Amino acid sequence: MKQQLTLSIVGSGGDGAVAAGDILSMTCAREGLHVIKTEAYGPQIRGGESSCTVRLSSTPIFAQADTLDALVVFSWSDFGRFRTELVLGDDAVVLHDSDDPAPDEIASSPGRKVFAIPFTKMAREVGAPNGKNILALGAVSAIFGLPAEALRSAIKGRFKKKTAAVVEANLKAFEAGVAAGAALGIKNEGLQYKASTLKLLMSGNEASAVAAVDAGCRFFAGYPITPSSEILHFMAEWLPKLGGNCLQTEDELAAMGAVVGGSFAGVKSMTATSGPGLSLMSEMMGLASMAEIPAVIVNVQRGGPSTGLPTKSEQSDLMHAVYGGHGDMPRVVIAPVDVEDSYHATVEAFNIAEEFQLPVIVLTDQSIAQRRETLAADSLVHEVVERRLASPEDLKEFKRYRITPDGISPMSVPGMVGGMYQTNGLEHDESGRPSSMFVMHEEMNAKRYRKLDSIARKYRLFRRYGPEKADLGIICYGSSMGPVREAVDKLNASGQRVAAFVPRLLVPLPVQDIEKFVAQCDHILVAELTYSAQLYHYLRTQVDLPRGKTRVFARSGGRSLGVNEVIEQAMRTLVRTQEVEEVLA
Amino acid sequence: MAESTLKIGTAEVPKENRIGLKATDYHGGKSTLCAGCGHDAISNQIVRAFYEMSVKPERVAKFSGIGCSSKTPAYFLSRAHGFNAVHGRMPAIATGAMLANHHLLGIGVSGDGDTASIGLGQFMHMIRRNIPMIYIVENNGVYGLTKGQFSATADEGSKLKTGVINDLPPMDLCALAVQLGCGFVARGFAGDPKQMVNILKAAIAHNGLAVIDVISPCVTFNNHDGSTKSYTYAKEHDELLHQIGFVPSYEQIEVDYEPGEVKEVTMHDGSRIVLKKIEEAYDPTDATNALVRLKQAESAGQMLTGLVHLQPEKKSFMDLLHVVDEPLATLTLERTRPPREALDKIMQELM
Repeated sequence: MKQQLTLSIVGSGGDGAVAAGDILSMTCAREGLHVIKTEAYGPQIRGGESSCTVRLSSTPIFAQADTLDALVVFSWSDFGRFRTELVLGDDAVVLHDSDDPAPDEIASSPGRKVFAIPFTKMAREVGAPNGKNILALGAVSAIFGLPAEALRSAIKGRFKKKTAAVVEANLKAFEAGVAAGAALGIKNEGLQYKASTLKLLMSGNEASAVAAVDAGCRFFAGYPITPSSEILHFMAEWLPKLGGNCLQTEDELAAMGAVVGGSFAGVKSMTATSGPGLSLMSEMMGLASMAEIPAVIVNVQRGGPSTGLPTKSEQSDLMHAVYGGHGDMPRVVIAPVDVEDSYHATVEAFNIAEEFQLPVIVLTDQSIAQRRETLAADSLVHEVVERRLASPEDLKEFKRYRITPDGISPMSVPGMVGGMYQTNGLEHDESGRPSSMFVMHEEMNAKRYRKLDSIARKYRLFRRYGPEKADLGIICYGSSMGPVREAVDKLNASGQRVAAFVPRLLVPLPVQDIEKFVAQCDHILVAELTYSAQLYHYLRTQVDLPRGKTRVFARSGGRSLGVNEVIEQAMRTLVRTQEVEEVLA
Repeated sequence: MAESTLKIGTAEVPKENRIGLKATDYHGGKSTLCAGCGHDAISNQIVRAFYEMSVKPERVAKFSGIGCSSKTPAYFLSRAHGFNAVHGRMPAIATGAMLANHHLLGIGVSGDGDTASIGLGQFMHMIRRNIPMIYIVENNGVYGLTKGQFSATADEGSKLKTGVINDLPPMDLCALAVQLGCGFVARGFAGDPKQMVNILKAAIAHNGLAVIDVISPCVTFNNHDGSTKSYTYAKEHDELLHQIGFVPSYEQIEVDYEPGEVKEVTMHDGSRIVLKKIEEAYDPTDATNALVRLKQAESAGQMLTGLVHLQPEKKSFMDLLHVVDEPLATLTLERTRPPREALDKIMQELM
């Protein structure tokens, strides 16, 4: 029996690989299993090859698995395009369509159990010509002991808008698959689990969108861009129902401009984009920073620069998020570490933006944003901060940009009698009047930057895993938390002493907490999905990372960090250290 | 030059308007533009139009981009909120603000650089969406703030002081607006304040985007011989489409003209625009004819002014969105956060 099972289904557009993965992951989430589901597409996004990978587990999981326990292939040429990302385990079960024989390197591996099943032919025979994905689901459920009854009802649900004949044909396809799977006579592959309370199955994009709605965001403006468009879709569907407005603009300049305008007029406002859009939004983020207008920007990172890898994850917008834009431009950057955290980080982004009147970037990436994973049904709750408007006392002699110890000045909105001021991209005095005097510019820069100090004092957002004292401490951010956390657990289980530190607030950085962590670890490994080691270089601007005890593992995105990859890097650091110590001894 | 306005009702202007405010309540700060700048003449007519229309100043939101024209919101309606945005991006910011609070009366002031070059895309999309507000382009054919480079509305053959001749064709913002389906397109001239104030009043009454292209000579960089945007050249080439009169909805004035001599257009709020033909019967509700007439004027070297195109019943973006009457910005906190049941419903649909 297995504690975990990772299965991938690969086919061309129309084969239903992703649909089958959806049904399987939703069913298992309802049964209370822990699920992570990822999809992958070729660069053309629509049409072409697609794959869907589902990891099921009876214990908590934080990343997609490194290797597959099972693989269903409708077309080997499609599988070929995913060869570098879909790695078969040595004893994996492989099911493929009899029409398309398995290549030698698949079939010849000794531990593998490779079977041809006539998916296409059987589906046609039961009257469900498009149902080979459902048939494959049936086979998989028989082999691995997955909840067949729950799958049947999920299939009924999936096709409930179609005719009764379609539902019937698909159920027949499922049964035919079950029979075919059972007939293979594979033993001891069953997944061990106990049904428990239902879990939510969500993507990071959905969690961010739900968070925005929950935080009181009632205006969203965005421009479609992979891999963030699901947020726009969600907002377009739900905001009007909740009494808000969603605007699809002509480009990201306008999206960010409209967000600044909406927030200026008094409504919590948000946009969502990816790297190429963030480049365009930088101009308006500068305006929001200068004019001190709250705004939330969810940036779902993908491979870059330029059009880059639109459907793949990378963490290389970090420097742009942290420093991008001209002038001295305070902004906040908060990086969620998983799907559930996308909810909390987005609400926190609104709370910080509204209280401190500045732009806040939620720096997530494709792997969090587009994978679906399970979370506890009651986990999406977070305290919400409301915008505080100028009091009658403030309005007596209104100074929109009053210089205060914490940098926060009274804010008014259009229509407030006595709260008039000229909102400006120009440097200005306390009342908002344009000023280009050096003294005023210095005072206002100081006031705007004091807000970051206030935020750093109030919010210490980070995750820490592993023992208090460690031989090795790994620092990473965002989606790299998942593989790093699993690697840390495995390393400690095997007798190593390894800890991890994951800052969630990147600007302002929790410097003291990082320094404390560095002091607690004999050696440091910075792990990230950027070619140029952006996180490492950024950390070094503020944190003392001694060169002698720090190693960097930075590589391009396109594939998320793997658990084994992190373990290997950690062990290299540890072993090298031991070797050095042996030499010195 | 023919008289550009119709005399309707009493010409006397009261000392207080209907909401008890004086004209000075609509003033702004002191202008820092060059003496004689066309933009100041436009600001003065904005003050007058808002005063005479009895608009509560606090209800007004002023928007602008960057340029000499974009500085002018500081010179009118000090009691209104203003947002001096960045270059060419005023339409997006105003769109967001108007969606957040559609009870605001928006007025955007831009220039030919801000609108026809860096902001052209946003300008066109604002027209396409028909955001209900006024959009004034103070058009002088040059970049004044950066000391006199040609803009995209400079006429072919127009000459700079330095002798440089513009060899690219001009962009006609009125024709562009008509082509994009704008429901209110007008061209004014800073040297004709009476026509300007009537156009502005009609724009205030319009439910939808009102684009007003105003030829506004730059006395410092584009008012010399050889310029086609100088006061002298504009006066000589001003071709009036009609004489304009405006009757607000609360006035029951009968217009005292012969039948067939005038054309009346009733606005969304019940006010009336009265147009008296000058030399030809011009129907501003006919978009095709408007485009033909603009093209003819361009070929003949005329500066066509008046109400170029009107479609008072065109649905605004707010009408299309079916927004509730209460602005988002003033919804109470309890109403902006969804009840738990709404969130639960969302969760169920995600499952």
